[in-house]
Amino acid sequence: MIALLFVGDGERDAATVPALVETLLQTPFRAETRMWARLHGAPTTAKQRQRKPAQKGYERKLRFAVRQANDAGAAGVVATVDSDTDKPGTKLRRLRKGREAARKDPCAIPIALGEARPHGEAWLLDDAQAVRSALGLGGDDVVPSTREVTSPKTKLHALLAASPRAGERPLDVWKDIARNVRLGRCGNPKRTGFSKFVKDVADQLGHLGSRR
Amino acid sequence: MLFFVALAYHPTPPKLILLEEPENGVHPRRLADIVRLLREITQGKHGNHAAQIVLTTHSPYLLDFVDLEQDQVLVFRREDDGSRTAEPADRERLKNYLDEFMLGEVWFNEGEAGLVGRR
Repeated sequence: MIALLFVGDGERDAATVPALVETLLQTPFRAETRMWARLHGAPTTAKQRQRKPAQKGYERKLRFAVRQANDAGAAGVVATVDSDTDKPGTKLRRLRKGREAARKDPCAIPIALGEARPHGEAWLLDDAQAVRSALGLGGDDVVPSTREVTSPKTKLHALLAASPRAGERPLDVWKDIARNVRLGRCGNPKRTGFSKFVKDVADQLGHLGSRR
Repeated sequence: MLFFVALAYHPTPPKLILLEEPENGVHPRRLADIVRLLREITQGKHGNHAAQIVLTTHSPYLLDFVDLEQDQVLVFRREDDGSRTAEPADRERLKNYLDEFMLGEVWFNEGEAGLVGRR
């Protein structure tokens, strides 16, 4: 079984993104999960500077993730970020730049990237049927469009609190939603960044399914 | 800092020096100077003989200046059964990171398990 390293914004991404990718790849894999690295140094020695020009931010973190993946024996990396208050697309552009640089490494491996707008919960809330099914909501319960809510995260928590699964650990519930998410049912996948993520996963990691 | 300079220029330095967390009270950027001084002491560049230095640290910033080609890092861990183990850092494994990243960064993000050989 292949292994993939998932890098993201904490426990939520660790719970949901592997579930989303498993549906997309239609192949089982071992998921290694990490939070985005906290790096305090740039290459400081002359030897290091000669080998790698100084990089910072997400570009450097992505390169660190590739090393983590190599160390863990992973065949690919899936890296996701929340756009949060940044202009949509800004972080994704930086990550793609980092990916280009990482491709020149001798230890290069496929990297799929995604930016959730404004955050990962938007990818879940955007498939109303997946939310309804995982939360056990009735036909009368309204799951709003991601266009109508300013914070999908807050809305998802509110829906959980009013559902039969109220009181359960949100991350467990989010994981169940993620397993049910289908791009074709999502209301605004371009707006949430999910369609780009799906395409990137297919382009970058689609071939790994044949290596089972 | 003064302590380390005094140690380096001690007229009769001890042959074995034990240091507990030399990073305490020191600006992270200054740690490079401290490690350089300590390494010089181990090389006999100060005083009339080389001393062996054993130090403990909780600082990833100090670890950044440790050179696995010259220094040895022992990782102490408490196991699930309550026992303690001391394992040397796995130089071969860490080569994956150290051409671009700092040892302290690896420790901070991968934990103790990321420094030693895989079990």
